[in-house]
Amino acid sequence: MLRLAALTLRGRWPALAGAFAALAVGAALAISAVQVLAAASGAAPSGPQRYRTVPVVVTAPVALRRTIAGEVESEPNPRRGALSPALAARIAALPRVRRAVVDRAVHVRTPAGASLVGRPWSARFGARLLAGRAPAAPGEIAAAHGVGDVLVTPAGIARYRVVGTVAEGVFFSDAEAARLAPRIDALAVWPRSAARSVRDVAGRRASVLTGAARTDAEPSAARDAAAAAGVLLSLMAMTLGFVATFVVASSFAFAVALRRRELALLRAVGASPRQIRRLVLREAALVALAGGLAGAAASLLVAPLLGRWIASKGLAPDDLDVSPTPLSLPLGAGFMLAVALAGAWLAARRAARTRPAEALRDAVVDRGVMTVSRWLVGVPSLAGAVALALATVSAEADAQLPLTFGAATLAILGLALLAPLVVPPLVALLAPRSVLIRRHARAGVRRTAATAAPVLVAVGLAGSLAALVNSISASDAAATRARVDPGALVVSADSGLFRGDLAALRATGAAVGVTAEGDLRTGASVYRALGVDAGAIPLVLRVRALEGSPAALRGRTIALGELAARALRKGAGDRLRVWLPDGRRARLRVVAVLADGFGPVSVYVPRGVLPGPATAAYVRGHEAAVRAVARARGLQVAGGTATRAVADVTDSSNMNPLALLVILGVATLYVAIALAATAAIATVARAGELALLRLAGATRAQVVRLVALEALVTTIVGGLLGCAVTALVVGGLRRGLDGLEGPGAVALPWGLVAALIAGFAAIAITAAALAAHRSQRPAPHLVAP
Amino acid sequence: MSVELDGVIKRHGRGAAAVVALDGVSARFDAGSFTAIMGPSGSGKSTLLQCAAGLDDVDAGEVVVDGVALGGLREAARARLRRERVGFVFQAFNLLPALTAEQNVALPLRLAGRRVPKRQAREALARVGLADRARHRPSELSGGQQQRVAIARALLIRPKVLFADEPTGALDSASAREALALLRGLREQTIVMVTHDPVAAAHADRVLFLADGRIVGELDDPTPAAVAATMTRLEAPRGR
Repeated sequence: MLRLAALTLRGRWPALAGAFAALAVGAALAISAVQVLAAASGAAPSGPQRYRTVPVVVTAPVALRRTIAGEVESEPNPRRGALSPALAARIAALPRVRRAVVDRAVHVRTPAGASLVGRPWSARFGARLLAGRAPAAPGEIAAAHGVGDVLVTPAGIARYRVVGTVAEGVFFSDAEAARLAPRIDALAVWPRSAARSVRDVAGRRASVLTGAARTDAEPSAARDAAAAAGVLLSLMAMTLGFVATFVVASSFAFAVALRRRELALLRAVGASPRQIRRLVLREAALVALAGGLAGAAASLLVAPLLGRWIASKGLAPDDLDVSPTPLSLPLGAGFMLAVALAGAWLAARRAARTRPAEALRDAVVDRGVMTVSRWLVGVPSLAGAVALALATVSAEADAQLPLTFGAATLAILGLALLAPLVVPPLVALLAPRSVLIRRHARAGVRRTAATAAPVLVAVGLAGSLAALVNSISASDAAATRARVDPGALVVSADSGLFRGDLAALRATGAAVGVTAEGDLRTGASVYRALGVDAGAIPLVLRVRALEGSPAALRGRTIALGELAARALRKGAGDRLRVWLPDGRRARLRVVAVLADGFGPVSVYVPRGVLPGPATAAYVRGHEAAVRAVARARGLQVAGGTATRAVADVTDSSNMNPLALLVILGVATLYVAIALAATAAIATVARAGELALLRLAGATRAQVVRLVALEALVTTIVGGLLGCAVTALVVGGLRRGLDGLEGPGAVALPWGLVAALIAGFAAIAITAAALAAHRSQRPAPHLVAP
Repeated sequence: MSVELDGVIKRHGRGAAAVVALDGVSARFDAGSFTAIMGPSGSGKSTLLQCAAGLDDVDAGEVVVDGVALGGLREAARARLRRERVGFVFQAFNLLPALTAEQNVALPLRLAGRRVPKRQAREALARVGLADRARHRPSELSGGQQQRVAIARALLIRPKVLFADEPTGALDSASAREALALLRGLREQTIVMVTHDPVAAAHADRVLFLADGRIVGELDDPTPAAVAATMTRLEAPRGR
């Protein structure tokens, strides 16, 4: 059977050219993705970096432990609290502890605005002095090149004497570090054998880390970035899988329909249905193999390019070295083999069911295409898509893109299955005066669907996701504009504002409101919180209160945004139990529900509830004076209503546009290939039919024009169906936003959708016209059946 | 091996567009006999053949091949029948274009999972006079040669029954004569041949006449003239 598959494939390979190209491109991308992912996770440092030479590290508890419904859950805590000095002293005094060093993080800024983390000199842990000597007196520092001697510290702007040079960062004397940052970040303890007695003393109040666990004590920006790169590449793989399966499925369904007579002959000569099914699947496997090899060759070029793109987005180090790994080829090729078999499976089943006698009759007309199973799967898919679309607005920020992806793919699936029902009326709508086009479309509904389906997939996915991403940013902007005083400026710094910064700002006579940001967790969900002090309330909370009043935000209170209030089912006067960013629990009284729309912040708390430094100050006053202060202290100033860019590369506001780009790129590439191949093959297969038109009196130019027009109509039909998918998602967003009192914007991606449809139409028309031109070159009676 | 049809009814299409192709056909083809089926176009000849060979289901009535009722068999069993006991030759498009002549000849046995030594395939081709064209593809053979390859394929499995649907329809007279002589020379098989050519029909032991889906006449030991006369009578408009 394999040999038969190989032989029949040799004769029929043009029909499967589309599938081959799709699988080759997919293999190239999949193999590259695996290689880039391997390189990125390899590049992310494993094991402790700074604490490599420290055998035992004691910090505040690194894991958040929560008891939810009787079960204890534990997850890493991104922002730990401080270690209590009393506990640190007790540990240092233990007999088994030979040496204990206090580690502090002193956040400083250069006047140019660069943020640094300074350390006490005794906590240098292996960093070496390149020149000069160690800082001893409070006014001395050891710094890297380019840091300079003027630093903006929590205690104010100060000039230091640089007495030594180090490779990176800045080191203070121990006493100065203690003065600037009284908070103890961690305690380094020698030797390792003391760990047990330290644990006995610390109990639940601290985490005592040894071995690989020490990495939990270090910030993990590189690891988080690698994880985010993994998410992005997985998203690419998912899109790849979905779109490629779709394209392969249409190609094979079409190829099987073209080979109807050959398959019927095989059945007449004695092939059982199972043998036919296996024949088609083996052909698919062979095409996948060929595609895998081609893709592997292409990946040599594609993988480094992909790696460079990922690095340029900040998700991997710039010097990422992407090289072929032994696992990438079987993984990537295996993935595409699975895609090929999945795509060809339906076509194989249908091929196996051809009744030999029926197919031997010269039936060029598709009948009975709408089977029961199409209804049974198509309608629930559409229903599921609607449900997911409606759930998007009230979902968590990280879940919104996956929900929209799910809604779009279900809608695409549903519409594709119901295509035989939907496509002929649409064609009739678009070509009301052309009997030929309408009849051709209805008779060859499988062929028409095979050309329209790829367009449906690309436009549906691109439109839906663009609608979501653009709506989110538009809503963020609208919500911020509504909330914030338009005359206010926002002053911020990367690692937070010092007391001295705030004092300097207040000294200009301006009204200053201080805010902080953080995530609050309830049992199941995460809510982005904005902490505001009394001065900030009139500047950043200028929205209508649906219940209560934000002026009451003092002490242990919280004001809920309308979406959060709905999700939590709480109102003014209720109490809410939350986990703070540093792992402590709090019970907050709800004092207001605000009509804040669909924005980046879900809940509002008093400044004191959120630990950590102030993230931004909203200032209303003499602009020139404020800007002067910011310049002197290395701060950033922007208009208050501008949407602040989140520095964290892995935050969903930064990841969403990237994800959109990835999905868009993959889908468009695939669809372009599929469209060109299908349009060409379909036209060649109809050569006989078209020759009949010429025998009836049409010129070759007329036939080519007809074919081009049909290609245009079919592409537009696919585009319209894709717009329907987008409309479904947009409808879900609109419905979600309509229920809100505050502002929310829905962005319609008209430009993108129109550009895509125009591009696809151009490809389809060109491919079909060229194919018609070539296949109609001989005299008509030679071509007609 | 005998083939028997009993009250077979077959409809094409559904609902208002339905056409009755066979309207209660009963016939028996004895083992070793050579029967020709003739009739005007649209009389249901090809449908009769396809139902008798199990290529299509019947809507009513029974088809029994060598004592086995085809209606009760599933597709896989029917396929096995076609591999091992029933040979089929069509008017055109008999061969897979991608395979050579000898690969085409060996196809049914390969589908049955049996290894076919090249010698066997070549012998079968030699019997139809095409041993030197074994490595050629159908596109390199004339219509007559393709038909002979198809007959060789049908014979290789040593079928008990051979169904032929207009086997000489696309051939010139010399090739047609050769093909018919081949069929005539087979003694062990039951042969049922559909044709519209009186000369071809005269090669058979018996001719059945089909019109409007029913058997309307029978002729034993036919001659071309007698066959032609009966056909003319059947095709004449009613009332004359």
